[in-house]
Amino acid sequence: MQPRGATRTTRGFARRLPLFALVAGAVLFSALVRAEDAADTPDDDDAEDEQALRALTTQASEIELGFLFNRVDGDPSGFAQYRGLDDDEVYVLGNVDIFRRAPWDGESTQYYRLRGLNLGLDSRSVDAEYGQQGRFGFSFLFDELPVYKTRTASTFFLGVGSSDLTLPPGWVAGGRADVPIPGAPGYPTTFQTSIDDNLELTNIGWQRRKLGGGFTVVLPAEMEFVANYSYETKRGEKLLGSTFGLSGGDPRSVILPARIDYHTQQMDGTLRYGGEHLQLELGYFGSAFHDDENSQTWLNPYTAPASWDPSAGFQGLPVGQIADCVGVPTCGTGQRSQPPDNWFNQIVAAGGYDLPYQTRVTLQTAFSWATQNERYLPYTINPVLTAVTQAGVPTVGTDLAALPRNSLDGEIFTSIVDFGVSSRPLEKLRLDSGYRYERRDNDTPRDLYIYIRNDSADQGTVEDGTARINLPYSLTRHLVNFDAAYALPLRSELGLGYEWELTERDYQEVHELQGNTLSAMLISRPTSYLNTRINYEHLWRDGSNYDGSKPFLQSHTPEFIQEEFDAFALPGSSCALSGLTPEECLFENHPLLRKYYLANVRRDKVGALVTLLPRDDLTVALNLNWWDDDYYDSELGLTRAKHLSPGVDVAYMLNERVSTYAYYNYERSVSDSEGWEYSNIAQSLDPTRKWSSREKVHTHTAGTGFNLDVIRDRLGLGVDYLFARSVGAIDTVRAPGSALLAPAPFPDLLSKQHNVSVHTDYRFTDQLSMRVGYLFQYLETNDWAYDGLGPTSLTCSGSACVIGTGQKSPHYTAHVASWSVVYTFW
Amino acid sequence: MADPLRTLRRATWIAAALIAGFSTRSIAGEPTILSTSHGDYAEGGIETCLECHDETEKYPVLSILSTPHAVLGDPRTPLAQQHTCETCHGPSAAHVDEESTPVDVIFGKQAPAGPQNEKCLSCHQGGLRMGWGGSKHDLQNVACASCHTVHAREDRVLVKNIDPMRFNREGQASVCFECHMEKRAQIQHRVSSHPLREGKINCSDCHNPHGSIGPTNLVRPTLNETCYQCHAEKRGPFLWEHAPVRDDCGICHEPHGSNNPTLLKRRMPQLCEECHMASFHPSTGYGGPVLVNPGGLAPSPQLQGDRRVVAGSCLNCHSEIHGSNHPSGVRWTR
Repeated sequence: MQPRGATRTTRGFARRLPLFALVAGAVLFSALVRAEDAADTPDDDDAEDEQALRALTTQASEIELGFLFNRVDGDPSGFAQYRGLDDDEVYVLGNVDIFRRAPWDGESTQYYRLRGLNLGLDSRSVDAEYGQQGRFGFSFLFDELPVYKTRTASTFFLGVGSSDLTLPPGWVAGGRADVPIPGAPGYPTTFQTSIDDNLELTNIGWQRRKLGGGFTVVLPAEMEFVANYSYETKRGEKLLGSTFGLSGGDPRSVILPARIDYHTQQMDGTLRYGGEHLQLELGYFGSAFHDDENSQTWLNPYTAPASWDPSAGFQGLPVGQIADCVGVPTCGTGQRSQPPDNWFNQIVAAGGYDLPYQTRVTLQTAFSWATQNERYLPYTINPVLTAVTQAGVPTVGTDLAALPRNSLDGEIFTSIVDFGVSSRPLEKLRLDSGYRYERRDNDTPRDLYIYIRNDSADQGTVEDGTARINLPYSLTRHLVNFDAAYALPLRSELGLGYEWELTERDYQEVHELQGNTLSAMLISRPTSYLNTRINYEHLWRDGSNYDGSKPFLQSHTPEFIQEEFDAFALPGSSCALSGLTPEECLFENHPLLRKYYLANVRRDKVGALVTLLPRDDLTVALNLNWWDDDYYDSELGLTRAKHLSPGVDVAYMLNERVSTYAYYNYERSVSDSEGWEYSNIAQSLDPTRKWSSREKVHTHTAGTGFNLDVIRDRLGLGVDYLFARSVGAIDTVRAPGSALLAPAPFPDLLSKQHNVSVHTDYRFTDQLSMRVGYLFQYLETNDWAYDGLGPTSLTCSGSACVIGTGQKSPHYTAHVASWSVVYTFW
Repeated sequence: MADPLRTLRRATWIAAALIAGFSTRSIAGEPTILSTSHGDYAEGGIETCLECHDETEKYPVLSILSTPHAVLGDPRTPLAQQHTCETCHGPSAAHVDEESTPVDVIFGKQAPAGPQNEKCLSCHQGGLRMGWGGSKHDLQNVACASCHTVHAREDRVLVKNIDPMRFNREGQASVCFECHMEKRAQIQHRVSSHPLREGKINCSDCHNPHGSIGPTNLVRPTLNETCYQCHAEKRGPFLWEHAPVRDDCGICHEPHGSNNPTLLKRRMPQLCEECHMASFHPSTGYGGPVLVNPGGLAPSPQLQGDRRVVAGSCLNCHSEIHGSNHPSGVRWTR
């Protein structure tokens, strides 16, 4: 099969013509520069000495031109992404750095620079600067960033790269009943055959392209104005799970390549005043995001189970189409919204002032407003499904009159004020303090939306769970910190700090969350060959009453809540039989759950960095990071998270011609979670339905290498080797006495990589050299989420099913060899 | 939301505490500045210095003449000022007279940070350095010269576009990694990472190491605003917001690198079940996938739930997890 997809780029000589033109232009430009310099160079006996001095006091320019040969065994995406080496072929290696600055002792302050990197690859960038230091400067930027996610994904959809995905002619739909496992009678079904026969590999990924520029003007009275603008596109495909169905019991989902076509503009302008004791700045930052399409549609490859409206399932043409869908092309179609266009504006004002007694005060503020008002899609794209207009008139589900408004009119205002004072009142004493105020007012209007479930059913009523009110989350945060440091003997300093934080949130389980952090720091340089820094922090964070039902109650209608309440109040209800009051039964998440970012926690954290310099040519650094988060009040959810990471780093310069380094880092992370598996009130009280899950990740990383001046000032050699191995284990166990089946064990998640780079630089003359390089990368990952799965091997239960893509976890061996000639000039 | 009066009371209390905290200054008497600047300036300016200091030094000095610090045409630069090298190194006539006497201000990791930083900040206190005082690096006594090498032809920490053909490169990140070694392991060795190791972004694209209005020295006032610089499609506001997404991208993502897809802190569904435990499938204690039916032909009960574990796991259905603007997208499936 040949890959298809919009991200696959066509390559050829013709496509690289602009590159050759650019490099040729750079060479010509450099020749002109040389000619200009030659005209300026005095023709006398000291010319050689002057050239040597000039080389020492002038920025060098460089043009590199050569070839890269790339070969990757396996899916190249993981290696190629961000680099642009996505095919086994020869690429042009082109790098340019032309830098000129007027002689330091002249009157001119002119400078210019043109840099181009990776010019023969899809990761190329070009930036240019021109200016007169102290007066003005201009800049230009072009940058490309390829992101390749996978080449092992397949899809049967037609129209990849567009906003409308359709099914191949002759498609045979199916569902749960049609998916027996391999080896069962009837395997494969016509549904499975239809999938398999129409699969095609699809490159998943996208390409970013950014174009920008800016300028700086130095104004009188110690002022300066800086402005920048950029325009970036992001185009390609990403995998998105796309589902039909009414609940968690009957979803039929397919992972499909969804189109990306984003455009982002950003601009900023800042006026600065830089006095000796007072500095001020006033700036603006703006962002505008635009998506060319506001929706992505796809045809349902499944038949409809009994719980769906029949029009939601695949509609064969002409055979198999239900009567209501005759002449209705959007039956059996799903529609999702693309990210809506948004605008963001921010005013930044900041100032700093030096007071007597080595004291400085700073005030930094930012006020921003984000808006989004893209026109809504209808509740459903399927007109056979019914809805009710805001006036109470029955209508089709596609009728925008059923919506409470035509667009969100979303607005978020954010205010941030950061005030700081730092002082050195005594020779040995440093004091720092600050207050930060952050307020996010989400002024988006709240409305009632009676949603249509996944284009699969008629609209519900205000009394049921599909009647929802949006929750625009707001937040207010105060942060105060005091830090003091006092100099001790042995060139040491002891620091103590305290930080208080109060966060208030709307519509979330905890309204107020208060954190206190005590910290201590010891910095010591007892000798010239020992630097030590040790930090310790203790955080205790406690919230106001955790109200797990709050989001549930605030996002549902009073009518629905009352119905639920009445049902739970019935003597024979599961709630009553469990001995609970109706209020106690009104929850979405289990009442014992504590969301970890809102939960009470005690944290201990240690960081240490010891740097030893026993000799001028040897540096040894020891590093340690450790923290332990104890969610002591959480019975369910994340209860404990621990992290340990020691490391060592050695750099040794054997002599003037040989330098070497090595490092090693170990990392261990452990996360403990508790859960409670339940489907009704009674089960939510049965402790044997609890489960525990522990995730442990061990990672070893190491690197070593050397740089060798093989022939002094002539031949250089560098070799680097990096290694990493990570093993992740997840173990889930049931509570003692559980009648539930023990979960199958998770296989270990493995990631292992070897990296080698070899680079040589041979200098023919001061101006001409040759570089030869080799890059090797081996990556092996074992990931149970992907390995061994074909598109149709995702299992189904009940009426629920998922069709995957057959994507594999990354596993490749990559070799890149390079050869280039470098021309250096001053 | 917050009661304005309550907020005002809090602000008053905080201001009072700040003032109280610094009232110690008034009893501290005449402060002794940390700078050692005293003595006489040498005569002859840079030419005097270059009589001894040249390219044979461990830190070659002539290269500074090719940098923005040495532009005589720009009167703001040190070498354009009266005392040339001593503009930064302080009055050092004693050093000229006697080699063993150090210059007034020594730069580098091994020298006290206070005096050298004071010199740098005397010109560079505004702009990106506005928040230096009280910043993390300031509190930890990091000297400007710990990261910057102003004498070098090109300051290593300002070198951003680095050669993607080499794994160990002398660019900005290598300077940061000298102290932030764990971050090097995360960025260079994880399956999912931002394109820093390929030289396409730099630490300073997200962080301002000189201190900032944002947390953890971020370049924008909040973490999310920093992320939106490149991920503007996630800014919203959305009709159906996901509370932790609006609060802090870091609740779910580890931006320095992860072996989980899309920089996630944990695997799904475990990550999602830290906060979602509703009845039926969100509360299930999931096990690993059973890809081969162990029981022969009949579907195994253990197969149940697999579709919620493999491939995108929860995202197999709830794929609009960053927020949805679809009127029917309350469960982030549209």
